[in-house]
Amino acid sequence: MDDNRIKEILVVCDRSTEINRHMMEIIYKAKTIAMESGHLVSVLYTGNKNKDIVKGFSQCGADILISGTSPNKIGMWQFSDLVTRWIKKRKPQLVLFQSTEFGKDIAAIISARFEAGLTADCMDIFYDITNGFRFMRAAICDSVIAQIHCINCTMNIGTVKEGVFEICKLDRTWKMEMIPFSVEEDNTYERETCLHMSKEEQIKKEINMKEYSTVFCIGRGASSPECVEGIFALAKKYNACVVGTRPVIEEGIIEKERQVGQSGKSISPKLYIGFGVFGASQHLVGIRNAKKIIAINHDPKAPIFDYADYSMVADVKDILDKL
Amino acid sequence: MEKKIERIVLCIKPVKTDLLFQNSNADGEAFSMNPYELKALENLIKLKRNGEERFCLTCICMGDKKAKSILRRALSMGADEGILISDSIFAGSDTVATTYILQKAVEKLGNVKMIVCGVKTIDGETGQVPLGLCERLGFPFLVNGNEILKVKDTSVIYKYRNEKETKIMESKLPAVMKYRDFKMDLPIISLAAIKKGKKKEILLFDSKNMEIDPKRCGIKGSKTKVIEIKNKYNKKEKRKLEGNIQEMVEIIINLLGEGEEKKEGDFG
Amino acid sequence: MDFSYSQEQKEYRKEIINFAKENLNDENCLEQYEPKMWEKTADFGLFGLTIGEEYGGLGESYQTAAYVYESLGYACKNNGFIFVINNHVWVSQNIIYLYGSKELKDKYIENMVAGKKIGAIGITEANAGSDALSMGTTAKKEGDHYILNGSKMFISNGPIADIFLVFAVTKESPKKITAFVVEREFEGVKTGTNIEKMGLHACPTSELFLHNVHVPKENIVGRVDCGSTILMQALEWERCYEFAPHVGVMQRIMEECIKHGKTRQQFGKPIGDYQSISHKIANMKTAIEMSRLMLYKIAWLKDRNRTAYTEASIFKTYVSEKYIKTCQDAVQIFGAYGYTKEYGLERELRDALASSIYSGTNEMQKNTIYEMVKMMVI
Repeated sequence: MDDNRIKEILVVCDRSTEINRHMMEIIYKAKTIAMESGHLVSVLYTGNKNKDIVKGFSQCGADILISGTSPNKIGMWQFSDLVTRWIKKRKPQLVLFQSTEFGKDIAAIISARFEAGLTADCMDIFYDITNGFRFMRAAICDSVIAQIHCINCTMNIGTVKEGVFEICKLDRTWKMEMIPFSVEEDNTYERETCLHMSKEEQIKKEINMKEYSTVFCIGRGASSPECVEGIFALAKKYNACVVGTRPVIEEGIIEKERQVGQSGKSISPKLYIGFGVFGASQHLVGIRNAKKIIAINHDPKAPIFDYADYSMVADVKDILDKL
Repeated sequence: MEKKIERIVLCIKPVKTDLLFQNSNADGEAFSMNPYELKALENLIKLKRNGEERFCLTCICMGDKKAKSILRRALSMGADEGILISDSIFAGSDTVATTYILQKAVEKLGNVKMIVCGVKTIDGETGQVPLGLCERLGFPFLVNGNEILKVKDTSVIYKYRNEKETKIMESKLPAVMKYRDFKMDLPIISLAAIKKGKKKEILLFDSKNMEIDPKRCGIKGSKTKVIEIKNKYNKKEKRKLEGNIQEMVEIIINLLGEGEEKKEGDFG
Repeated sequence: MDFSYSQEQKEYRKEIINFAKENLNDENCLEQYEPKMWEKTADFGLFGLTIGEEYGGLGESYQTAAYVYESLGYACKNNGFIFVINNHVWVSQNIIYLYGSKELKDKYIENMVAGKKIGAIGITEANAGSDALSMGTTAKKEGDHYILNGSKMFISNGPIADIFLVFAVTKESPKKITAFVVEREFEGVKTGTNIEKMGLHACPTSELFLHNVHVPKENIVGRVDCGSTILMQALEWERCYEFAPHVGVMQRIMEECIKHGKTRQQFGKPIGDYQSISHKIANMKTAIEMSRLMLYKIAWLKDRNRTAYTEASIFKTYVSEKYIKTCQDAVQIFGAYGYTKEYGLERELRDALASSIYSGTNEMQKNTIYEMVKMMVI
């Protein structure tokens, strides 16, 4: 019977050339699930390979590394076919992708191709013997967390955003199996070709929120120019990253790149201070892994206070003046 | 025989209005256009108005009868055709089932050279539909665009922008486009435009006239199922402070200080 | 009888609410006339709602118009600006459109629908208010022209209007009046300075002076010496459609009161739970529903080309009384907040107070109503 076959969780890494934190977060999460469920974790990786990278995969929990260096510009369709090939070979029960633009695209294509259930932007995944895999994700309409279960299919797919899970390094005593493959430049994948392309201008550089251990968040209650200015000055002093909630981004008070929450980025800083943040669940999703949360809001009923370690009912301006 | 004018299909997702506007009034519709599709619609209508482009702008919307008002709006704004995909057996469809239904709809329409979908919807779907649709239809191109600049007979020219750069791209057709720009504010439609839109008909596509396999749609055809919904944030033990600004400030400074001392940790 | 709204009417309502909230409710201009607002409203297509498509209108029914204007009142907080629109649409543009010759319509309607020309009506004089026929403004025939002399008082839109529908005496005994379209451009036309009023500040009001104004005879609306019929018609339209928005305003104010009643707590419970508050709100709702019925009935009559003179008087009187009462009650419900400038209710009340006066005072309306019913019983 098929049941005797070793079951696998396949983690598909993006087409980046190096191992990165995001991949490791997912692999480690896969490993923690696998330890309960008795699965093996296999990783499909198309980047460069050296000792350190291999060690990196091993340390965060990969049991099998399926790797092959891909041509630089491996396209979406070719990548999908590659994943398809390995899914057919390994028959994994769960396939996890990075919730990057690329990863989500591939996941969606694979989902349609295999008619497999897909849960995007999982916030948590767990396994139990009777029900199999369960996925948690925020369901915005109802401002709640939905638990999702795959039905009518043997394979489950999930995508995971960066920063949602933690990483721990494992002390490895067992060996990681290596399966190499090769990907060739294939011009038959003309499907994606762009005929013409011209770079126009450099826009501002990306803000890497993950590099900061302290994050200041501007909410609607702190969107006056004086407050914003004060928060930025304070951020400079303490080397903190300034982010914002959706209403603040929409009003153009700070750049779109700084948006945190369901429609923006998720962060897991050591310290998060919400200035005038009300705490819509869309935003809370993005900060739930912050170690410590300080919330300052003049409205004692603001939902963020339910999730904060320190709730300060005060006017943001009064606090800023003193800081 | 004259060549039939080819279609550009815009898939519009109805989203709950109160997600878009905090103070939506009681008279407003329960559902509104997803802001990404709204922007795409304006973009395409503008191209049509400029006159050079020859295409039939077809808006399709999946949902119950309430979604009809969204299509009405799209027609008032200047779309050529409105298709309501609605059937009781479609309820509960996930993306796998939805893309199947949309595929059948596009095939029924025929003569489609481009499909435009918003990159994501405001209520949390994360843009799987365009990909799945593209895969199912076997359209050769899948592109990301922030603005459509020109629609030619066999290609589309569009602008792509990310955090780093802006590119002007050209892709062959047929293609599916994920539209990456959005518009939050409601465009005002003049009374005359409403009257004009009224003259255009909204067609109903259901499981029968699309020849849908009932086993592949709705809850039966879905691969995912929501089993539980809860408000699941771990409430923490918290300290609540009121009134004493000085105390608050001290706590903040202390905590900020701690963050400073500890060096940027690695994964530990 | 059908009291359901059509899909199209609902869409019109939705759109006008969106439009008004977006463009007409700037908190800083609630008591000002802004030309920008006028242009936007023209682009939106409101002015041509009931005007035929040949003049750029939409050719909609008066029932639809009743609903749309009610919605305008509901969404637009600037009552003075609504008053400007009403004076333009219902008592100048619409009168020329309905009773003017083809030449006259061709000459003016398209521009009025497009908002390029603003209209006003001139009936009242310093010494002739309710007794309009005692007016002193005269028009003497001279060749192809009439020479107008006199002055008109309290001309709403006066300072901004381009076109005046002026009534003047063309025959002394028996006294006959005639309606003329007078352009601001005509020599001898002058308007006075803005007259400061208690409310409706967004509607500029002034005197109109006519000194030897040559008006071509084509500019007569209807026939010579038949002005009083036109005047009656104008008043009938005014009493119906200028008061349609008030029904919407009452609705808006009622909703604010309900909200306040639910959130404001005293002695441990929302004040809306106290009967003294809830009954006021119930009265508001009753007034709104009754007014609405009368409004739709008049619109229904107008769609059938029937006269609604008595109905318009009844509607006008009832709505204005209830409108004022609603505003007063709202101030009372909001208590001290209601009396402040910040909450805007005092402005609503000031604006509302005018409604029992304009279009013929309520006292005069009651005379009219009695005159009409008296004839029904022999």
